[in-house]
This record gives sequence, C-alpha cells and structure tokens, in this order.
Amino acid sequence: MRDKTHMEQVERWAHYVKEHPAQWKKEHTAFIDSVYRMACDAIWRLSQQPGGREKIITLRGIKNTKGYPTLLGGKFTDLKPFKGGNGTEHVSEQVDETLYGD
Amino acid sequence: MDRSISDRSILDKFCTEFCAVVEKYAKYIIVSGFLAIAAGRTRATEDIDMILERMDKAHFERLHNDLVRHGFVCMQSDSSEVIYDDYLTQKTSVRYTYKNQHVPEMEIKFSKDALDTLQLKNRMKIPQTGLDVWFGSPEMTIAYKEDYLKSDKDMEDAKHLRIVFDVEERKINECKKLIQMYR
Repeated sequence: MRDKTHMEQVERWAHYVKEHPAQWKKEHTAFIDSVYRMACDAIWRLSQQPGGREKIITLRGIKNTKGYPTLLGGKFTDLKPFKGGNGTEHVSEQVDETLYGD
Repeated sequence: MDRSISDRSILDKFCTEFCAVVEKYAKYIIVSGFLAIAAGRTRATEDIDMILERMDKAHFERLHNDLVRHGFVCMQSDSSEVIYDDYLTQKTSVRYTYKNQHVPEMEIKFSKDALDTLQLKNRMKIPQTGLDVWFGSPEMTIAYKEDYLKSDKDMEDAKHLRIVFDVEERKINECKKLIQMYR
C-alpha cells in the first residue's frame, strides 16, 4: 500500500490537468516518451549481454521471434533509432560493447 | 481540443496508428489504463487494452494482414489462423507491437459477453484526450477499477478520471451493478 502522499500527488496533478487543458499535454508527452526511451535503451543493453536475447523473449513472452529479427537476432547497428512521438529520432548512447562480451 | 502532432507521445502515436487500421474492419474500444493516461495520468504502460467485436476468421485475416502491411507484428504468431483459433476464440488476448519494437503493445481480445457488447455499443470519442480513437466510457472504467481491479494503480487511475471528467455517480453505480452481474 502506497502512503497517502502518493494519492495526494495524483489528485494535485489531476486538478492541474483539468484546470490547464492547453498546458498539461506537453509535460505529459515528455514524461511518457522519456519512460519509453529508457525502457528501449535498457532492453537494447540487455540484448547485448550473453543470454540477453533469451531473457527478452522470456520477459516479453514473445512466441513469434521472427517478428523481431533485429531486436532478437541482429546487431545493434541493425536497430533503427527509436522514434519519439514528435517524430524526432532518438539514438541510444553508444555503449562499449566489450563490457558485454560476445 | 486540437493538438499539434508534436504534442503526441509515443503511446498516442502507436494507438492512433493501430486504431486507424482496425477502424476499417470492426468496432473496437480502448479500455482501462490508457484512457486514464490519455486523459493526463502521469504513468506509463506497456500495453493498451482493446476490445474488438467478434468476427469470422476470413474477416480477421484481412484485418491482420492490413496490420502487418502497416508495420505491426503479433507477438504470439504471424499466422492469422493461429491467432484466431488458438487465442482470440479461446478468450485469450494477443499482443501487437511495431515490428522490431517490444513496446508499446496493443493487447486485443474479442468481446466476450453482454458487458463488452454494451461497452462497444456505447463507445465514445473523448475530446479531452485529443485522440481520434474510440474509448469505453470513463464511468465504466472508474467502476471497473474501483470495484473489480482495485490495485493501488487502478485506484489512482480512478481518482484521476473522477477529477478530470465530470462523471455522474449514478452512472458509475449502474456500471458497478453491471460488473457484479457479469464478472
């Protein structure tokens, strides 16, 4: 059970959304997009580790592995830059691949 | 409420593109957490939940093939026959993503009872979200989260929806009665 300050923050933000219909969306989009970018970067880093692709398949419950050829079977250089909601491309920071072995 | 494309999040874009394909083939509604998120709740989600009206296998094959043409892939199988026979008609959901991206997902299931049918019949577009997609009603979503799902996350979603939308308590109570009857 979360403490009551968590619900208070939910309420404060909901009132902000209601009272600022033209303003909330920009902040909201930045938040949502940043969460997805972090998730995609983390999954990419996992895919570079030994056994990482198998972990992704298990984590995501992917049965149709053919549908994700570059995510699950290719190299980082095969991956397309992640596209944000505003169409801008997000390129993951280059990572020293020697950290992750083969 | 008009919003520029640059205001759209990754989730908005994914949902809008997916629904634009589905719209050509069947009635659908987006339900549960994504309604709260599209209405401003600051949390992310891995999946957007869609209830799809039931259809025959040939019609679903056309829908699936069109989704594939538009860059979507089903996590469970490439075969529309497998998706239809082994999942959707067995009351099991399937998940579509953009090809080569593991998130976000659209989790689809067929309408399974009178409650789903009623929600499809009463579907609505919600201007506050700025999205041109069909949603289940905020009242039903609140009722479902408060009386059926009940996790912290769901109670917070319900609170957010109660504040953002001018919901009628009477309608929420009617929805809660329906949920008790069917679920």
